[in-house]
Amino acid sequence: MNLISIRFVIFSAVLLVLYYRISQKWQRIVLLAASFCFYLCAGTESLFFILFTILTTYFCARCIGRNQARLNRFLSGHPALTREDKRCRRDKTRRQNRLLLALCLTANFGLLFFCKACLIQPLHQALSDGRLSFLTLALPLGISFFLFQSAGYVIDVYRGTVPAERNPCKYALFVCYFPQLIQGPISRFSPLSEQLFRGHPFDGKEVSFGLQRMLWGYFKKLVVADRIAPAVAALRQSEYTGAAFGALTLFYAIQIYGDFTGGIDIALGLSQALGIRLPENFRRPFFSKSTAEYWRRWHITLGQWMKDDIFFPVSVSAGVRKLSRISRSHWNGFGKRLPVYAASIVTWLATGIWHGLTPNFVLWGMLNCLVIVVSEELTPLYRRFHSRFALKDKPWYGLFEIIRTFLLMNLIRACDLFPHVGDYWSRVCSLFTGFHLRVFWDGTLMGLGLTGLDYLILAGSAALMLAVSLIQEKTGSVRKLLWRWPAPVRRGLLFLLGLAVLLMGHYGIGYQASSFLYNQF
Amino acid sequence: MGKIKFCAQLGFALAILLLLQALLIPKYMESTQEGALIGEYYANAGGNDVIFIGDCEVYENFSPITLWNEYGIPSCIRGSPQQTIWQSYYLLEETLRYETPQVVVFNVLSMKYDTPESTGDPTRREAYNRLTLDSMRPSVFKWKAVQASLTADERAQDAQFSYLFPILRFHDRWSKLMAEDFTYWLKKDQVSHNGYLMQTGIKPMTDAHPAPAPAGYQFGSASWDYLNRMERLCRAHGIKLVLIKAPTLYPVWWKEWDAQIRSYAQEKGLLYLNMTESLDEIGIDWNRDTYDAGLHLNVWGAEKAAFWFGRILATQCSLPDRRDDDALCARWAAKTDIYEQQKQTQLASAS
Amino acid sequence: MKKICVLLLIVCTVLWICGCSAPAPQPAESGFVLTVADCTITMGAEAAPILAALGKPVTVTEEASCAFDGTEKTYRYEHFCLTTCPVNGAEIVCRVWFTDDSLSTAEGIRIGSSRDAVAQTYGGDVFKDDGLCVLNRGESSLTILLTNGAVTSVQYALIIK
Repeated sequence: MNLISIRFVIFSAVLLVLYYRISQKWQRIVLLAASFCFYLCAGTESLFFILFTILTTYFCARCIGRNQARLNRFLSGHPALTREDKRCRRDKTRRQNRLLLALCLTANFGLLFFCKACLIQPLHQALSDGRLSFLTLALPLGISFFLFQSAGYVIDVYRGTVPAERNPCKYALFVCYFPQLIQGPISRFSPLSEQLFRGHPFDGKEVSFGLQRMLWGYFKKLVVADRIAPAVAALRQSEYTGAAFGALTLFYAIQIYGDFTGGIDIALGLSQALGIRLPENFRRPFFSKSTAEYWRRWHITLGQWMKDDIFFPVSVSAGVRKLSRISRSHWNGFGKRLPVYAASIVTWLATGIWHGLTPNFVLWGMLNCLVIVVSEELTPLYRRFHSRFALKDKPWYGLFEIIRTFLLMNLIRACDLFPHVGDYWSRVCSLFTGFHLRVFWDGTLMGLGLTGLDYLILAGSAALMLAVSLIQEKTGSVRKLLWRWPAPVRRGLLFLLGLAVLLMGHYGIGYQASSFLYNQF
Repeated sequence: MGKIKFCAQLGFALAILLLLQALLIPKYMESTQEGALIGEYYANAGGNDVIFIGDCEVYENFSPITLWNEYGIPSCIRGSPQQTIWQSYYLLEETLRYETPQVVVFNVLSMKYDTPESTGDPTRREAYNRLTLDSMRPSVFKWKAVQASLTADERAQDAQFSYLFPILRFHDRWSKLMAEDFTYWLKKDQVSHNGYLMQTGIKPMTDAHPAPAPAGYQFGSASWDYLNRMERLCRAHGIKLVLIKAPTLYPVWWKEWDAQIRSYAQEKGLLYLNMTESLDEIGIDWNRDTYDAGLHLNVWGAEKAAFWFGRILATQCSLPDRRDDDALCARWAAKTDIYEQQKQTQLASAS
Repeated sequence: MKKICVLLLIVCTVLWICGCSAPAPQPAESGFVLTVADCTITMGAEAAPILAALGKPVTVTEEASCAFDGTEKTYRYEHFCLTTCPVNGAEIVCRVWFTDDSLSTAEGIRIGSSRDAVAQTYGGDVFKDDGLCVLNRGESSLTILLTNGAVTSVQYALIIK
């Protein structure tokens, strides 16, 4: 079920009514049933994947938890044991749990790896010769997201930060809670479960805020992202180089921002209306002044997951500790940073692979890593520069940093669009060899499938999104600001926003039914 | 107080939406007038002894004015372009909510389409669906007709809801509005005459229209199913169902199809008239009585066809002459005036 | 416990190997081609040059559609008919059918050919039933109708998506 379909709107409306009509102790059952219904709409074959993940991670976590509990009982029941014996016991349990964790993660990430690999053309052909067709080819709905979420849970149980959940229905709800299935955010068990498993009384303000957020999400997705999509598709053709490639990076930035944040707003908005606060996934990323800051503002939960579950474990792993000893002995300053860089490389490799198994996504990950590493290495130089010229506090310098970061991230993000790395590089080079600004007024842009009216609507929408982002950056929530205004004014503005979605949205017959871009990951 | 204010604001918002919807949906007043036909029935509902159901071969080929003036038979045509048999069935069901005629006349050409996809280009199919279904009043019959009519593409996009709320389909017309949309925003003119769409043009049929044989001559199970339902519905209401093939030579009405309908009519005791076999008797002159080289009849052809058919309705279907009813006479006199006026206007503008 | 985990791993591996298989992508197919008096006719091709090459038809008839602008035109020639339809302002060939047994398909089937000849030429699995044989190739279809074991109609058509 597409989040932008009428069916989903009706589904959400029915769910909200049912959710608040029944007793609070049944609310999580309703949510679980709704989540499975939602997932079933993607096809019964897809259900296999999510059930597999639920079952394997549930049982793995239970086993780990039971091993730990058994150890604790044994140790408390045998206080006379020597320290050596106790250490042996602990090590044995740790080894068992590590094996369980490794098996569970291998099974599930192997599944993700294989499904993504099936989408690669050469592998298609290799696999299809004389093979049984057992499962459908399409990437199961939300596999990257629910898999990371459940893997995070098992890792947390292994670390002892959360106890293993005994109730399989509660755990199933955590994994397949439907608003976050399509494209996140990726939640941790502890904060989310507490909300999912308790009852929620009807709160008119929260429901209203949630619905407003959904409306804003529909605006960004249907009016902005889907409107500019044909131009992005057209600009990917080989004849568009130089400044046209520059335009592509800008248009793609608008598309992916509208698409991704729009989808997240719909998910978080519905969840808020249900009384459940999911973690924020975006925080005005285009206002970032550096790449590192950008990745603290864009796809926040993925970045957090990668940091907690890949970067930190890798950076304290035996291999990296050994590298650290060697590098510190050879290079004093750089030697201290090298292990961090090594862990970063692994993390960004994983992040790239998460997006896709093709070389362009690996390149994308490495480019991000390179920029972060280089800017880290150049930090002393920057410090000297700023202490000399005192530009940091100048407002125009802040604007310069924002625009610089925006353009740089646009350039790196354009990797997504070119499966062949050679294509991408030749386009990047054309920025320097064939940059002609006239493409912006010689009619090129009018041949991309957009009319003058479309560009006008896009410009107006971009201005609106910028205004909303500025308000959010300065004062916090726009909805809370609107709440302080008289109800007729607030409702009138929201009605106008709804009209904009209704009249200017790209949906229905005559428009390509488009799913969210992050569905593919 | 707060609740009252909220309800008032909600009502105001709904009113704006309804007004917007009325503005954005196509009016079918000046172009593609065929889209207005189904909706015009409701003003003419009641007091009709004969209801015609079917595709363009009914709304272009029979003049209800002639039926009244020559035989005193009040009739109405619920026709629309490329109306499929399932649409005909549900339109008939809906019609029976408003009146119970003595005779229902169904043009059997649409039996050749068994599924929405079998009618050809899916984009055209969606457009034809709109012309038939958009002006139906909301009802369970409309919902069923919509569900039966959806193409695969429409179904994938949940287009059934856009038939309930047409603003979802025509939402982007705000940038393509024409003067017609404002002129007929809230009030429409009448374009048909009890469902008959008048054409005064003349384009002779000089050559026969060649056509390839169809892939199969057997009508599909869905077509038979709906025909059976139509027959049962008419029987349950004491209505005489008359099957006709309108008097046009193209699209081809194959003899194999004719044989199936003939056999069916015999089995069910229904009157079936293949009017293509009675062209001479009807008096159709292909040099004068068609406006599109034989695909449809113009007003002169339609009057001849109605004259011929009316005699059969009066004799074989025992329909009474209602010209002794003063109220009906007055109503139909007004209709006749409008009809004749339009004939003169169309002729004047053509010359 | 170890055994259960290893068993689970084996089951998963087997499932991975079985899963995600897909038919190899087929190369794009070109459609049916008909040659009449040195003129090559393909479905979906622009009609103007083909009509110019075929010369003056016996008759030309227009088939208007209900409620829509744009008419199909049928050109009757001595041994076949050709229908064009308007697409994006241009007339394209959308249907060709034989009217007698003078013409044959590229594979040699003509009106009057036997069912066995059709089965030998195109394979037995193209028969939908005894009287109907449909082949799709690229954007065109070839429909062969049979009555009492003999071909009565040969039609090429553009597949409308």
